Amino acid sequence: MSIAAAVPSSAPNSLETDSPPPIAVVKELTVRYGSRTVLGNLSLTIPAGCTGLLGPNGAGKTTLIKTLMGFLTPASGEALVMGMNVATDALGIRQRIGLMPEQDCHIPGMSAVQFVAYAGELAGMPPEQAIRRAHEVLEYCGLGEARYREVETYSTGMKQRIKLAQALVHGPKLLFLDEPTNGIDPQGRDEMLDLIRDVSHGKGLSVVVSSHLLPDIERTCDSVIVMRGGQVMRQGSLQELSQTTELQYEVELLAFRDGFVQALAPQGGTLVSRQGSKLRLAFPPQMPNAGRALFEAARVSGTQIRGFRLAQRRLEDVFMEAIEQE
Amino acid sequence: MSRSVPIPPSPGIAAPSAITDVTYRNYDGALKTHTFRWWPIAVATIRASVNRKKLGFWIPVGLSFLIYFFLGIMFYFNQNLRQQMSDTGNFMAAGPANPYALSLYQGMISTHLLVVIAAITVGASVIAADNRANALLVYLSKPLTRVDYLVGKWMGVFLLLAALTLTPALLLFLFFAVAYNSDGFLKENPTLILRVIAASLLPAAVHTSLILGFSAWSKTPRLAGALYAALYFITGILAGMVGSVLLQKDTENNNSKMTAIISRLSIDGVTDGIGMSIYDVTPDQIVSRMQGGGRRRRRNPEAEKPSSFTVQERPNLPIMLLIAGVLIAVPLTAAYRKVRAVEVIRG
Amino acid sequence: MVSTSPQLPQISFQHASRWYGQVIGLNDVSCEVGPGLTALLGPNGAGKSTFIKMVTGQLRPTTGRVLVMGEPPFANARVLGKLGYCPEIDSFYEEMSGREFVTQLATMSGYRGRELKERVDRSIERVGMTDRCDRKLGGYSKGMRQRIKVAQAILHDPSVLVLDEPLNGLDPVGRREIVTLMTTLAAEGCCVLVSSHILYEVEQLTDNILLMQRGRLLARGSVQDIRDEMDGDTQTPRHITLTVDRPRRMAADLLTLPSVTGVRFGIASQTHMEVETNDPRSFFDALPDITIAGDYTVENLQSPDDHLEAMLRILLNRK
Repeated sequence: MSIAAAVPSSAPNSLETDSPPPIAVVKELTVRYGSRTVLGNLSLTIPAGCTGLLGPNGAGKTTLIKTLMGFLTPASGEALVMGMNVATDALGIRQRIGLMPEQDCHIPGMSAVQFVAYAGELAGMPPEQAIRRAHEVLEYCGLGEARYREVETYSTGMKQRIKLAQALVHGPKLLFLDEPTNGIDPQGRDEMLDLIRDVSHGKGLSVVVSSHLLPDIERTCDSVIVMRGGQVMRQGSLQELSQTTELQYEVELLAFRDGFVQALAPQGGTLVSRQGSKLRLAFPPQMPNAGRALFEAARVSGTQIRGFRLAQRRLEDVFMEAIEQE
Repeated sequence: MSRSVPIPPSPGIAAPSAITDVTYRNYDGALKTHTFRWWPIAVATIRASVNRKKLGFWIPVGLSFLIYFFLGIMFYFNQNLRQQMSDTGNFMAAGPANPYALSLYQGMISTHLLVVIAAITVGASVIAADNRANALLVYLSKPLTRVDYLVGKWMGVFLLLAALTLTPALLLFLFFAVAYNSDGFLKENPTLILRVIAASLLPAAVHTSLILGFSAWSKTPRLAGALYAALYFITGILAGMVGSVLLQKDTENNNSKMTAIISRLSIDGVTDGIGMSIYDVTPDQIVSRMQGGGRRRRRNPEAEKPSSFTVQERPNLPIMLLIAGVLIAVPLTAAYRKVRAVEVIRG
Repeated sequence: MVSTSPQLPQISFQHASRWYGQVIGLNDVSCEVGPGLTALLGPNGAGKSTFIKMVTGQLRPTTGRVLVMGEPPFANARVLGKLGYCPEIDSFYEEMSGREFVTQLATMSGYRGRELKERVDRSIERVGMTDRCDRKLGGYSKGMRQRIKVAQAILHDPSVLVLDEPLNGLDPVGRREIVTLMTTLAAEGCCVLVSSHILYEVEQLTDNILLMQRGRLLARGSVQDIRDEMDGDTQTPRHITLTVDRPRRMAADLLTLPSVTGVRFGIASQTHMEVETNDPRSFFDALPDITIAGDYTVENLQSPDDHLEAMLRILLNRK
């Protein structure tokens, strides 16, 4: 689950005291593939910061991203990305967006530096700036000496980093990340998620992450958009969406004992769900010191508490609820 | 003398910190696109072939220069070549031959294979390698269209092949201009420079388009190169065979116009056929030149009979141009369709 | 349903090693995998694919033995007939429909006629593709392709099922469905071996793991047991975070415990505290007493090192 971290102060170049303007605005957008309507009268705003884009396969996420990048022309409605209209200014938009595609991709026969510099040139950077910036971005993405080797020799984790670097090199104001942790081992995934979190906060850059791995989204994003069938089912900040109505705690024991739950009953504690030695307990609202109750129950029942915290609704539950509703 | 007191910062400007902030900073610099968006792609294509010591390109280039060099030498030493053949009673002579144009044309037809080898070397992998590496996903996520991509790739290969065909030809032209201007070379041949350019760029354009088409439809450079070579050789052989057969019938029916076209239905045939029209030379002039020119003819006039192995007529220009147009347009259309099918984000 | 004798582990590695020229694939691996769900973990290049290839009979060990259901699986039709494999790679005949593809593979397994049709229908239904299986594979999304792969793996009711990153590309709904499928199969007695990088899912799936690194088996067995063993290691300090109303007073109390080797306070927050201990077992035992005696209000207690991810990191970085 996400570790609550203090979000650094907003970007130095933001002069407004209230929240920065949304990075993309979609109004009654309809997009068709031949005769099939994939997005029907869709309206949403993508706020600045890090946003997660979720939805089952076929929900229209891909179509939405393609439209926002100017690859698809809407049948009706309007979509503005950083103030530019997708129907008229597709190339201008792509100059200010970075895309990290899901599939493995690179330019053959180049080292990482050459590749990223070339990507910068393709976006319109002057060649000298492109090389300088390529080194800077590769350094940021954690590729040290390896950047002089050819891309074909890289491991999956490094290939993902290079994909991120080529998306960042021209200084985009909006970044689309499509399954950024695909195929990376757990340690690399950790580093990639830290990178995403870092780049999307306080650097003058907004990020949209499309992923099926909900804990990844919880860890990096501030808000989410849940889509289904070409519609937005749920949208909001993670904080809002994960609030629970009652007082719940997630408790992890060394080994589960029935006596533990029974010891909590006199104080009004009930078991909501259990998975192995991980429990979810509900308490009466306004209960003053739930921690103490838990420790006492543990002492009485002879178990060891390994951890507990205020439960939030997991993003998975928010997601399931959003797509199952009628 | 060093200051011991630090200079106070001017009001309103923060003092620079001693430690540089090396966290990520956004790039707010110039982001203009080139007038030709495809130019970086062309440059990258050229660089890939020039940097890597690609012998398959440099050797043909070298040989091409060598061939034109020898043509120049031969021209210089063989004064007879500059005489006309019409004074020996050769009833096949179609008019005075331009010896300069003939030499340049000879250069053009001698470098066929070199162009093919160079095209395979620099062109086979140009899109095929991208297909394997999914490079198009990177290209398309930048402010480029698929047309920009194709144009950039085409220009890259075209400029490389043009270097092979055009540069040595220009040098030969320059040699003529320098050595024979006293004979009125430039005055008598005002349009020759344009013809040189046109005749050299034509094969480059045709071969570039063909190899690009094959490259776009393959995932491996080897397959693209093999298919292109197969097309080249097979059409060449077939056209030659059919041509010979028709020639036998020709002497009876005198249908030389059709024969002229059909025997040149190969890639080289088309480019040579158009080249002939560009340089304004006729087949018999070429034959005579190749057979050693006027000297032999004067010694043995009876030997000068219509050869049963060569076509005597220049092929119909509009038809040749049409076929050349097809050879350029079809592979490019095919390449465009393949490139159009690539989806940047797959659902 | 083919059943095997419960005593015999279904997969057995006995000092198996495999190298490719100079490169080591597996280095003296010995382990046993029985019925139920077991997760195969490790960084890229650790030897998991070599391990899987040996189980599925694609490779033979250079030394040692690999036995599946009691016999070496290499080119062994008896074993392979009861083994299901869902590989990671994604290459199909794009022109076939999903149903045709599965049917083709079923035919290759020897099924005919009505049994063929029944098995195909059943396995397609189990992966939730009944309504979409007649479309061409070329148009499938990644998740759909994944489900078809699983369908062909369970077609013949295998007693050993090997799945390499089976949830790749699946949306959260699909992940749940396939996870349920795997758990059901494991409960029915099948030996299910899953290789995955997604640790939070592995944690929910099973307690049984095999951890590999650079060709060696670093840890095997239940996560609980591994954690217990790690608890007993007094050299590596573990970190535990607390949110409490009076951290510094509580710290004074905690420092009296011999198991506590250090305390750190939060910089931004006045209630955040981090305790370092080399004996988590004793620390957690003593914590309730200290909390109750001092009447502290603890709102949050986390030992991030307990989670599978942190555990693996410690194990993988051990010298």
